[in-house]
Amino acid sequence: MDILLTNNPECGGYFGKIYRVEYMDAPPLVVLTRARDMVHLGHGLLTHPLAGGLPPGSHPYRSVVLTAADGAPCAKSIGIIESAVEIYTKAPNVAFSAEHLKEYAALDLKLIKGGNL
Amino acid sequence: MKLEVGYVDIKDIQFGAQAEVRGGVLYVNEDAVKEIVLADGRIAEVELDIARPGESVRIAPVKDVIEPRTKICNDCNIFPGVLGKVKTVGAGRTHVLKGAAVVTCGQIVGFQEGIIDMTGLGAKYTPFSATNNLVLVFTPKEGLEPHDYEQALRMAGLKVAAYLGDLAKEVTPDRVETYETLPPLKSKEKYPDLPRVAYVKMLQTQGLLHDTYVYGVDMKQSLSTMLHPTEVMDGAIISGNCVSACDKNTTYHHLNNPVIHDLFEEHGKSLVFAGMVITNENVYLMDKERSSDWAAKLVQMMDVDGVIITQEGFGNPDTDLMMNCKKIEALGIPTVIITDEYAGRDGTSQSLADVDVAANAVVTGGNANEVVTLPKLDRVIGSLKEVDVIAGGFENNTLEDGSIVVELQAIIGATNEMGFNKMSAR
Repeated sequence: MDILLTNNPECGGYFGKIYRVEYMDAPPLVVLTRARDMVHLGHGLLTHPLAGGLPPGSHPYRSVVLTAADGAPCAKSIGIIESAVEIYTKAPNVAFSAEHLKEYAALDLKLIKGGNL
Repeated sequence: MKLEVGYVDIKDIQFGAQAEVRGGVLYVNEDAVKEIVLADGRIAEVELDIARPGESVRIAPVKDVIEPRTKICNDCNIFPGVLGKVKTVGAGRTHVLKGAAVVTCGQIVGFQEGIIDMTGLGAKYTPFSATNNLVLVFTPKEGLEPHDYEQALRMAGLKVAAYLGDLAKEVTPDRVETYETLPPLKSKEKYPDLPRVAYVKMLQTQGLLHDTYVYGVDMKQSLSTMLHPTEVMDGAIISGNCVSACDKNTTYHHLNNPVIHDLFEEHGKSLVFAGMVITNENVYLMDKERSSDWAAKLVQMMDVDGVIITQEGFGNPDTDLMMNCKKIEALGIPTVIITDEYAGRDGTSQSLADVDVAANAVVTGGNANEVVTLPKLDRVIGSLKEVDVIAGGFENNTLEDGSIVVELQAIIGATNEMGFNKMSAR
């Protein structure tokens, strides 16, 4: 079963029946670092780990879909996730209000959902 | 396909009882525009305002900018498949209110809209400081979900722009230009010795609030496809984006795509404009692979000697950009890409999230992380409530004297990746 790695509390319910959801109560960089470790252990990336049009560090949630570990690590996935981790490592930290947290959570969920029609 | 575009120069917008274009002035009947907007029950209220070049006005949060245009045609219309009929556009005649724009303004997703300054430093970074802007400031009905609000606001903007465009139907244009593309075999026959160049235009399509529509179709669900470039001038592509302001393509950008205009300018002189491909930027990597495979395949079928690729947005679209570039280069077709950079405030970080050695001819729209201080202006249309949280803003970025400190990201069109922006090394 494919795996959804996320720190978005909104994702568990919707995606629970589609993916094995691994929820992390941690910032985006920690989620991406965990994804990087999994990619090196043979999991492939199914979604791109960077958001489109949202600057790194300026949003609180990140969700990444990976395959189950199925053999040798994928060089393409390694390149993408290493680059994402590097970008988020350098990104500034921003504080988020409760009102915006809700919007960010909805957006993060819908981007994963929208691509999975 | 051949399109005549008649440009009616607009040097001012004023409110008036009679909606018309007279003496280079666009007169807008406020009640008629409000009626069009409020016909959508999702919108509680709309305020109209006018912002002219040079005025001490800041507009925020801006969602889209749209140029009023109309088709001189009985059975087709501007923005096909979205308003009115879906019939193919790009031929016949179109009239444009050049120098006028409809600006939609509203807080849909707090952190994703942009700023237009009509004077001062900010005005130098946005092309919409040079247009006469009819600004629509929306208030949604309570409880409206952001994606419903985006749709309502998008449609309202397009309807108002089309309504104003129709005022140009009977007006004699100040100048008329003709744009024509020939089928591949015919263009080869006509210009056998000129290099053939195609344009691959990438569209932001990651999902809800990140979408672009083509003839009303959500482009994220489409395979890469071909268009006559003149179809784009007639509103075949519209923006449904709430993403970073600096490098999203507003509907105005699509209508006035500078790559298309410049390729037409050189067509038959130094090159043949062989045609264009549109492709998407999705979230899943398999979608990215499929779409870039198709973009490469289509330009190969067009038998071209070179390709210009433009991007929209940043982050994961950088991967789409590199896939398009390297797959086309692998076919032996050289590419030039137009993008922008997120190189950090000091400009020393890696500019793109993804890179490839095939991308060896790159044009940049500028560094979106560059920090600028925008002076306090006399009047705000809309609200500055979200100016600290918009992409490119940050906490406590309003200074004591009322000026605001932002990254270029926050300014509409500042680092546009079709080359529409004002920054240049020239």
